[in-house]
Amino acid sequence: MTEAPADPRSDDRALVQAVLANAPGAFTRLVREYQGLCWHIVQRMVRNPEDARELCQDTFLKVHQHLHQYRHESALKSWIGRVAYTVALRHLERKRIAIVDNVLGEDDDLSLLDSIGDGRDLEADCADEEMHGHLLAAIDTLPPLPRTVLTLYHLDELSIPEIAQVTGLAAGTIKSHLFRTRLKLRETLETRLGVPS
Amino acid sequence: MSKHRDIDFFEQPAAAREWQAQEAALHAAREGRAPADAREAAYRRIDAAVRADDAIGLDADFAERLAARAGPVPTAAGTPDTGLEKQLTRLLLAALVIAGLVVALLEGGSWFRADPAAWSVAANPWVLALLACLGASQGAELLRRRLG
Repeated sequence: MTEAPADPRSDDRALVQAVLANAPGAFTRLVREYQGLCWHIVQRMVRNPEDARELCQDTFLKVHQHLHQYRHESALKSWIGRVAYTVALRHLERKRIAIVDNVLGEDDDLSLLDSIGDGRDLEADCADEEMHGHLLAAIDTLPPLPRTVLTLYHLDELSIPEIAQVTGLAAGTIKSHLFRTRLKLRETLETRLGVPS
Repeated sequence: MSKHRDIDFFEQPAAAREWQAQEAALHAAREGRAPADAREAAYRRIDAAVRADDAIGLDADFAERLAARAGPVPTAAGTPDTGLEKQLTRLLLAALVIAGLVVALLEGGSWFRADPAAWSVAANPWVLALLACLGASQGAELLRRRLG
């Protein structure tokens, strides 16, 4: 007999109720469960480990203070992610750091698609480690928002609607950022290999 | 300020195809299938690079130390702001009721001697406006519930 899959929403409710009831260890459990997500969001946004550690603390202190206002309208991870994103965003605003640069317009999207070749076998061309290193460096130079969206989608496996809830941006905007960022990284790979346009 | 413009994938079929290729690469990677072509291989490398940077730079006892620092979680009943808001609301309601009673006591007699025509809705445009606003507000709320 197969077990019914756990309902994440009911798990959220149980955890939130335990935390609000000040059950021993409940808040610690909540922090442990979501500290990874918080770190990924904050660290990808601010890109400074010391600042990221402090901002993660700030995030969970805010969660601690305002958890009674959480109404279960979204998943708990989206709500906590939103707090983390807002904390990181305010940090960047205080430092006057832009979260996106002048992103490609429509014509640039099409020209980038045309310029990228599709016949080169990347698997055969370049040592894995070297290619991997190039990509990590390229990801590191991305503006904060596209880098964070990419991480949330690929590493934390949040859906586009969930990422939209975390960032407060429209789903179409999230999808556009994902598309352009991945296309740009692919162009970086091709450029490294010297693929003629 | 962001100058980002969203892509209309319906109007740009080339972009829509490229998006499909990006997503196909992601799903193939999750399912452990070999890449179908060079383009998919490129996107799988990108996926692998993003997923490789997964270290969490927080101390092992981060959660425990934070919980000890934070203390008990405030609840709605215990939150000072909510209590203050309730008290202020009660004061305001009491003030409105008292003001209404005072006005009724002072002016009530003249209301009964007034021209009955003045009480008619049709003769008083402000009453009509108020009813229209209430109707629009209720209608909007019904529509919001149906659509939302």
